[in-house]
Amino acid sequence: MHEFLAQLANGVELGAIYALIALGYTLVYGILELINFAHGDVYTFGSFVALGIFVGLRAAGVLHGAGLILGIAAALIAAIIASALLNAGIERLAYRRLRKAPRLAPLITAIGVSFMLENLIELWQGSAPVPFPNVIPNPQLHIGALEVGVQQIVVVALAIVTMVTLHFFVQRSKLGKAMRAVAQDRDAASLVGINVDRTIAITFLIAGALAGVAGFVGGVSFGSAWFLNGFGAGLRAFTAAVLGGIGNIAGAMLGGFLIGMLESFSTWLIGGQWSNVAVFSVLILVLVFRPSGLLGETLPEKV
Amino acid sequence: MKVLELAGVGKRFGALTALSNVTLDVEEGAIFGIIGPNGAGKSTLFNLLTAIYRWDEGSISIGGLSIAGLSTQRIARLGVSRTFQNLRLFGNASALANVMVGEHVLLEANVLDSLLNTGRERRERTEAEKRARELLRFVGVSGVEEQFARNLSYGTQRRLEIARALAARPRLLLLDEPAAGLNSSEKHELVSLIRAIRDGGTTVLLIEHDMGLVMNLCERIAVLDYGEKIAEGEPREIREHPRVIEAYLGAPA
Repeated sequence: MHEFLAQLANGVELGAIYALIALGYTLVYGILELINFAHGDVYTFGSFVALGIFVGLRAAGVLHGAGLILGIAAALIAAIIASALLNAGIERLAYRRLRKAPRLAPLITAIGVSFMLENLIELWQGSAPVPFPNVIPNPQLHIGALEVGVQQIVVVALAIVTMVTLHFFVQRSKLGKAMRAVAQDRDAASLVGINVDRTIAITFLIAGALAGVAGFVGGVSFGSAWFLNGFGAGLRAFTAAVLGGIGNIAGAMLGGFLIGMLESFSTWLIGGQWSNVAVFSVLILVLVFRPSGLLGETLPEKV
Repeated sequence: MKVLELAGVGKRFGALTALSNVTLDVEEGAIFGIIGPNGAGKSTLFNLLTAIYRWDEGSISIGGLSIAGLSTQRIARLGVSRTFQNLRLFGNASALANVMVGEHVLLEANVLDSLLNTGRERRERTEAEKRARELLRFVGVSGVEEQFARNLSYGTQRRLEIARALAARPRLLLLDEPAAGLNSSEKHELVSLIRAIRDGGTTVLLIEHDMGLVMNLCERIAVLDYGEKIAEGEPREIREHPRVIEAYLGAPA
């Protein structure tokens, strides 16, 4: 029972990270019908930016007391801004000019951008995992039989607040409506005066910002950043997006948490070396039996 | 005051001349009809006015301002709205959301307002929603605000598309065959609706096949045939114009 609850907590934490990344895949897919394979690497970049801020602030000796809180906020905000700008930059330079090209062209480009980013990050940070400075205290809480770190609670809470905000933004705000309009019919959207290029750029900014949050959260909870982190995490998050129904926001969140659970419990029950097998078997099963994903048909709202 | 001026406009698709040397003025506050047999270039003309295509010759001005080189979205901001022959609604969004998207150009909230749900965003949204509900009532669509557009009946979708076009408070409304697929009582309501739109201060330019409806509704009519304007005038003149009769009924044997 004790172990079960611990794995559950792990799964939720992992799931929150996957959900944040999956949202980026799903937002971009919803608006462009493009799988942005570079998205996982934007997440890696966010991790390294947060790490850099932590290392710099620790060297300056300000990471204690109120300085620690501010430092955490600074690292989070820096990761968000850096990842958002990187993602929007990728769209501007690599995808925008391919908007009218056959769909395979931007897809292959996305894979190319992914390799480029991985290699650039390797040049920048080396090929070994870089540990996060152990600056954030993580007192353990005991709730009944459940033992859980404050850090885990904060991570999950941060992810959930982000997702709820996103949901209301897309469903209700002026810009969210513009995004949904562009997703459904680009020409009709420009006819009502929506700037399609700008709306797509904003979508990439938001997707990148979510990857930045995930990068920060992932770095802190795994305790390290590695140039290839985004490859595996990106693939699992992509699986999560497909599982939930790609293009569907609620689906990406649900899929993220399910994949997190699956990874956590398969590691516990059948061993860590099999967790990838479990996760990608699910991808195959979903593609075979329910290609539109769990929420793909009941909630056809794209983006 | 002229809302729309076309001077010597031509458009070719490869070897096919879709429009040639079309000159046309539409006065503010008019209900202006464009008729002509299938393939005469009517829809092409609308597509030029909304920058879906670029014209090859001549000039087009809206409210005295040349629209050469402007994007579709910029033209929408100049106050031009349109509907389509084969509806282009956002099918997977509610009727209400469709109209609210139509108000996009009127709203001032920026990215941060939208993301942070600021007071301005909320205030604008409340007002936009109120206006959207009023517009739906105005075009005669009520009680289906929350339904997906694609689930609405054809006649309702037509009205909804007009409501979305009106949501931007256009000075010029382009209606591409608004009566297509409507039954006679719906057509009757459409005529009163278009008159009410004009009385509200919007100039209406419409393409229509239903001759009775055009003659009854429009104050001025231009006739296109094989991409050329062959006649323009009041309904009575058009009805008796020999070239129009020839275009529709064929040359006398």
